Amino acid sequence: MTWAGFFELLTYPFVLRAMAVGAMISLCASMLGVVLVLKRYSLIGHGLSEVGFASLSVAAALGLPPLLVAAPVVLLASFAILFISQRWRVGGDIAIAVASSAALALGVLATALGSGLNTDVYGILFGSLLATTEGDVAVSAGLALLVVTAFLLFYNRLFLITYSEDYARSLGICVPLYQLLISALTALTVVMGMRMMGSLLISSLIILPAVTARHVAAGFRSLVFLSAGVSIFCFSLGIILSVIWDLPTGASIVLTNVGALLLTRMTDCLRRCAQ
Amino acid sequence: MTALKLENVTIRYGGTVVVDGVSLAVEEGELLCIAGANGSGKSSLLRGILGLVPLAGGRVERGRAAFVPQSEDADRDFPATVWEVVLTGTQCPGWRLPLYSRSGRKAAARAIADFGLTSLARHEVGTLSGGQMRRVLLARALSGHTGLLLLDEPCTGLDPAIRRLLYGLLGRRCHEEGTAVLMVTHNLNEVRAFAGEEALSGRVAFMEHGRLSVAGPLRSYGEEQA
Repeated sequence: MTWAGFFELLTYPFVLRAMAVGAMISLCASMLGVVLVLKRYSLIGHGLSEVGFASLSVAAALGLPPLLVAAPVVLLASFAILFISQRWRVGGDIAIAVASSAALALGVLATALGSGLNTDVYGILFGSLLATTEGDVAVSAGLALLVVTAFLLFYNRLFLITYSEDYARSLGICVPLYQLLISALTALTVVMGMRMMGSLLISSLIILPAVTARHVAAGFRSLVFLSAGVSIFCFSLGIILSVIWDLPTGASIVLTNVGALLLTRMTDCLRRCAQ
Repeated sequence: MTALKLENVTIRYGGTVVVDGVSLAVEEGELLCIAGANGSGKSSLLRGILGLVPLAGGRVERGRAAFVPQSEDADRDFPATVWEVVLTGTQCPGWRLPLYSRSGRKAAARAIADFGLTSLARHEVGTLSGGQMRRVLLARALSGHTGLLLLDEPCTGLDPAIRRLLYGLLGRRCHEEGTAVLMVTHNLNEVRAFAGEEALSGRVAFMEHGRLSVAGPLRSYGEEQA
């Protein structure tokens, strides 16, 4: 594709919608990702996306509206993961593994008993960013507003709870309330992100920008800002490369994120060697 | 006035009783030292007072407290600066927006300066030595100006000069602000010596198999031993 053709593509409403939704979901996932990665809940995005896959498969099999089924189910699953990891005194990774295995099995069962691996299921697994609607833009904008507002208003609490839950509890701070807030926002981001990236790739939007930014950032605040910046940059570059070379959008975005991670990792290693 | 009151506090881990019917009271401006062998339930008692472990029985009455844990539960590679960590000590519970006030920032800066951490304020905590990290945790606890301080072996890894500084600061807090201090320690002789210098009124209690016995005033501890 020529550059003129590329710029002409940017005038199409569906491309602009995809860019807007993608940028907003990337922003949400990367900011929440900082808290989740540092709390060692990195794989919660993966676990919740499999719960999303199961609920969307059941919705497709029963002919129900997909988002109306997926959003509450994933929300409940995120609370269940939190509850299991805290009350059963098992690690977050075990709670995620239990939820995701059960959900994946249910999703496969629903797919097999329903219409099989049709285009709906293919869309759930791999996403369809260019098929986003104006409704998706509005929901993504609302979600981004919620996440940014939560970080602006409760930044100090989120920092404290991420750094030391015990110290926050000892000060009398209601830790479960903030954990529920992060869980709920993560669940909604995963549901929206699944439409964009697919259930197989959405967790990378949560994990990779935070891990990349960690190599550069000094302090929590700069990590949040850098993670958001890296995520939006990699999303934009990934979608441009996918349009120019006609590649799958989700995969291009993920591989751009992986490239950024490798680049910062190498730069970090070289800097350490030079010292 | 009483800053901390425990009535028949019991803590169980599974079927094992680790704190067995402990009752005590710590008055404003008082220092209570708890000593005892490893595994006698000292740290569990502190965690029970703070609500970090559920009580199997009994009651805790206390106001706002600050805590220095035996070991921090945070990861060493967490991207937090000394300033960010110490500032968290000034957070208050409640429904107000958790924004740091000017007085909170001043208190944090003062605590950082008190523990000789000013030059390290922008450093990440993961780059600090064990002793420096201990000073960060102490600065965090003292920045909050709470009525009750719970210190779990606060002198571990500190050099003598910083230990002396800590006792001086605790003495000032007890005398000037009426702060009550509950300290778990293995070094009663040192606490007694410094408390004497700071003219602190203190008591000693011993824990054994989860039971607490209050032995008496701190100043007479050495004489009893002799």
